Amino acid sequence: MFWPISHLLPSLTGGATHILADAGGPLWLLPGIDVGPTTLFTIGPFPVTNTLINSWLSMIIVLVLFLGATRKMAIVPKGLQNFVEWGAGLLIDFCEEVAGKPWGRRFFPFVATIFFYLLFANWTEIIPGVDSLGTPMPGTHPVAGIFLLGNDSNKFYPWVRPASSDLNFTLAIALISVVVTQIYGFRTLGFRQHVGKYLNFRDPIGFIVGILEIVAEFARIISFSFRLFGNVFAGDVLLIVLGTLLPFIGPTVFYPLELFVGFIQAFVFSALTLVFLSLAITSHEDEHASAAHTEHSEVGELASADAVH
Amino acid sequence: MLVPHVVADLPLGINPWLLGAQLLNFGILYFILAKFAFPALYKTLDQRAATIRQGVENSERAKTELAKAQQQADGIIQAAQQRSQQIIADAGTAGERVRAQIEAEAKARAAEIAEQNRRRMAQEEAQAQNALRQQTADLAIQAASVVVGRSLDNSDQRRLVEQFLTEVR
Repeated sequence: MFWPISHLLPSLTGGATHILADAGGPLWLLPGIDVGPTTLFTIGPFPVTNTLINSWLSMIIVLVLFLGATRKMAIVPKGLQNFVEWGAGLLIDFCEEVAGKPWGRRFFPFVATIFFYLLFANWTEIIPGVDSLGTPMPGTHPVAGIFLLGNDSNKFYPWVRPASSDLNFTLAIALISVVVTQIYGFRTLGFRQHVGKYLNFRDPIGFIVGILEIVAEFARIISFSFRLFGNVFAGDVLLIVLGTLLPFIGPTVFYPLELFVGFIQAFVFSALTLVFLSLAITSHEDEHASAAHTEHSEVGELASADAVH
Repeated sequence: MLVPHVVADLPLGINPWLLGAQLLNFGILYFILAKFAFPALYKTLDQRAATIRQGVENSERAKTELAKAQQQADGIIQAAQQRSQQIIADAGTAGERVRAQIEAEAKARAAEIAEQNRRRMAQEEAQAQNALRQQTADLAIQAASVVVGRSLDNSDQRRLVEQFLTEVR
């Protein structure tokens, strides 16, 4: 195990900035920033990266939590079951509020898997050792066998890096979200009606709106994946830079913020997925009827208010 | 084993193998959770909801039955009060009747005793008069014997004296 002295707290940054030791040389350097994950080893053509390991770690955490909590469930919950039920219960209520009771129940497993998987994938960035334990690059000279100091301090490949800071991870979840939304749309509305949302030849405006809907579907994949990637990657870099400039104290201040950002990003991703799922099972006719109903209600309310006055 | 290196197959580190692996990861996670964890969670939540609903219904039913029982108890208490009032009234009437009966019996008994006493007094008076009459007759005979100087026939004397005393009386 190699442990760069500059990375006692999470770090991934680098560059020319360095802190000078008494002798005039750098005590440690900011690590280099790589957008892509690092391949640690390969199995045939398949690369095993540090973000993939983190996603497995997140999967294990989610599975241990849920399978542990639901293994022997009691009517009166306590301990882990109570905690998991509390979290899942809030999400069930949210799903049922947004999509209605029957659809909310049907969407919950998918939305909950996204939420909890992303939540723990985001939160792993604050675990000590993530981004800071790794394999030294060739030609480095570890101090005491495990520490990298001075010019060598940023020359290592971290073993674990937050999964959400890898576009492969966020893009995969975004693709799944959009594809599953389309599957629900086809299954609920039928092929003709669902395709009719995108290819509408009845009137020019409807046609343009349909084209915009197609563009929006692709834009959704990009916005989903880049929003999550950008937030978590930026947070990771922030913690690393602060960990290098002001070890221990700097990142600690930002841990609560990163926990909050991690939660918000997981929630936004799953909430948007839920909203798009709800929209996918609604036909244009239903939307118009709903809009007309709302308009009618508003007119009715206005009329009632007018009558009162 | 390979020397670690940064993935740079496509811009931004996108790699088809990794993308596929992440898709597979999510699929596996979703399958396990949807197959084993969430059904158990829903089952427990539904069971608890049913238990709570049953509890609320039982509570409502118990409340209704309690109100009904309270109403019945009030009715029973009211009937018991009426009955007790009736019993008290009946007891008063019966007591009055018994009192009157006892009083009547006592009066009758007193009258009987008084009558017996009066009869006994009359009897004793008659006895006393007889005794007095005999003594008087004896004294009269003795006196007459002394005055006449001769002894009259005893039976005649007595007859005469008694006749006299009867006429005197």
